[in-house]
Amino acid sequence: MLEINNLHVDIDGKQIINGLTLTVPAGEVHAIMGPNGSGKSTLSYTLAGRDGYEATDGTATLGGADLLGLEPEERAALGLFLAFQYPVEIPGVAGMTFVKTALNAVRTARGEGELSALDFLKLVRARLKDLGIDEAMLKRPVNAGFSGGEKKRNEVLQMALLEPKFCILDETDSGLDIDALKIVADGVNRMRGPERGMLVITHYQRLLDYIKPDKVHVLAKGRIVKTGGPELALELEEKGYGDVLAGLAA
Amino acid sequence: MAAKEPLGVAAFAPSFRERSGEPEWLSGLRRDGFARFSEGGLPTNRDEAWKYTSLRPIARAKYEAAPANDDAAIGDLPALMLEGSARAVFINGRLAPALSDLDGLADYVSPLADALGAEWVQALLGRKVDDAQVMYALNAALFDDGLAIRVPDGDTMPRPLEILFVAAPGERALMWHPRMAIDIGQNARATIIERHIGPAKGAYLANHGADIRVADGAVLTHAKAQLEGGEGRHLAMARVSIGEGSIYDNFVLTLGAALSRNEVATSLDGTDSEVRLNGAYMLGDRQHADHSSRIDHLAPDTRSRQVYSGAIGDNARGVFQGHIVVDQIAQKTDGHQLNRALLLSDHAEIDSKPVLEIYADDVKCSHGATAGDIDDDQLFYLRARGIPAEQARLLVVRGFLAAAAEGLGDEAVRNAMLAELDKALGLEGIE
Repeated sequence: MLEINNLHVDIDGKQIINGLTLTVPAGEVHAIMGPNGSGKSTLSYTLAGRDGYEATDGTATLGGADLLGLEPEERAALGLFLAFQYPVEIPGVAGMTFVKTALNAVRTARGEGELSALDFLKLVRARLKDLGIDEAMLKRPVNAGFSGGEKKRNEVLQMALLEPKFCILDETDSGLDIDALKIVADGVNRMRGPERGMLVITHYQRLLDYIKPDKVHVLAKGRIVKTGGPELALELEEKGYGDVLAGLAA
Repeated sequence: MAAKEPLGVAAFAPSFRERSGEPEWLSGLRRDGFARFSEGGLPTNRDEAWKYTSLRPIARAKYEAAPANDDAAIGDLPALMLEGSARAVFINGRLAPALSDLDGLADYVSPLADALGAEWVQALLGRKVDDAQVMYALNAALFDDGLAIRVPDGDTMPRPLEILFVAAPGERALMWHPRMAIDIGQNARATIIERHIGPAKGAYLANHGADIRVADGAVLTHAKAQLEGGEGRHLAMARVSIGEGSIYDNFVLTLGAALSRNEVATSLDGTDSEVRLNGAYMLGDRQHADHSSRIDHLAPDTRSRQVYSGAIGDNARGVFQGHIVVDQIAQKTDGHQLNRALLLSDHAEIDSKPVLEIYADDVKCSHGATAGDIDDDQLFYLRARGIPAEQARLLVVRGFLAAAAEGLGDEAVRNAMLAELDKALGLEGIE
């Protein structure tokens, strides 16, 4: 599903991703863990297509389609979804307007045609109900003045509406207390399925108590330095990143 | 060097005439107005209040006073901005009763000419004019038509009133100078929406004046959508006095006209009174739009809030001048103003001039001005959700401008204004 091969990214002349290779098959959830500065956010921005995050070498494909040559909106239409570490506030644009515009844009790009106003409303209400979110949230401007928990729930709602093939969750646990984390994780778990892949990027093991990964990768100095099962996350939690990094230096 | 004749006097002098049948106070007002105008002429960049807005093109244009209209020649009028509103329609500055719907408002709205005998009209129109209010003085000298709007004490105007100003210029450059007198009585309520529209081609000058009193405990919502034609020039001045415990809630959406200036001068005369002046503007080509305000806090515990947000593209230029004066007795004044501009091209320009003049010692006043590019974080967020770049840009601009309308208290009026903005952005029906 998601295949990254020998990816190199430099930002302002500094090599941040340095030969990263990773495959996440459909139906699996992989976690990437790593210390601060290891390139986690750069990886998610590069995959989503943010300006200034261009690969200098290597490939990344989703379902066989090249991602790196596409605009961010084309990647979204292809089925890639990035849940932001810091969802952006957009005062003056109602949440409902935003999700409707996004959904119709993606549907149009996929050749499915726009939803009627009525069908859209039905769909939104069904998803809100699934996730236990009050419709009032969508009447407010996008993320404006939202708490950390509200912002992340809004991300999950967008994910549920857009039904992406592949989700990248960038530090989804940051800024959340344990109750909010459980709610958000529950929403993410509902999205798991045999057709969908997920990449969970996190500094802490805590999130992985609630979103159980099939595999855990350790990212350091811009590449994957170790891969294991869920037990690797526990090991890192216990011993820290020191051992892994020490192994690198050796 | 010989003294030059003040700018524009020769151009406007032929339009000034003595009018028979008007009350003496008005004849005096007109003569004073024209004398004041003749003395200094059109303001130039040397006048502090007009530092960034030149009226030279107006002096050159040789506008003629618009003749009486053939209203039948006007095509279909646009739908009401706010459902259920009454509507007064002006064509080239003259009221067109046959096109208007003032059902149920006979006791509240009349042609200005029919109300000249009323003391309140004389009191409002006769208020002192500041030296800088030259175009207002010219308006007094030249107005042909207008409205008198009055809501008695304790009453609410039964329907919102839309005043639709339609420009229908012809071969020659035309001008008109409509005048409004608006009196909202004690504890009274009213909603007035102005909409100014014009065709893409055809030169004209619309020079508006409004005298407004909001008496103690009253609330006036006064919103304006300026959608003048591409060769139109639009100058408007509203002078507003605000009584104890009352609210003047003003919003302007500026999208049209080659040159425009929207000026609001308010005095907070009574304690616990509040003024909200908010505005959104979107400019392109070589448009020039000036939003100037003056707020005099003349009583204790008064509040003023101003947010003007603009998106400026191409070679367009925006001007914001916000002048707040806090009188010595106006303790506990709470006055804030903010001007935010998005510069969408390298040649776009914003000039922002805040002035705070504070003579009381226990006040909270602030001003801020920002100018910048489109927010990349917002743009990327929208695109990452599948929204194509151009549409994402429009949404970011929409959000930026719409945020200025949040200060407008009446939700229905706010939505009506935002609907006009969305139309202009090609985002019609997005909400």
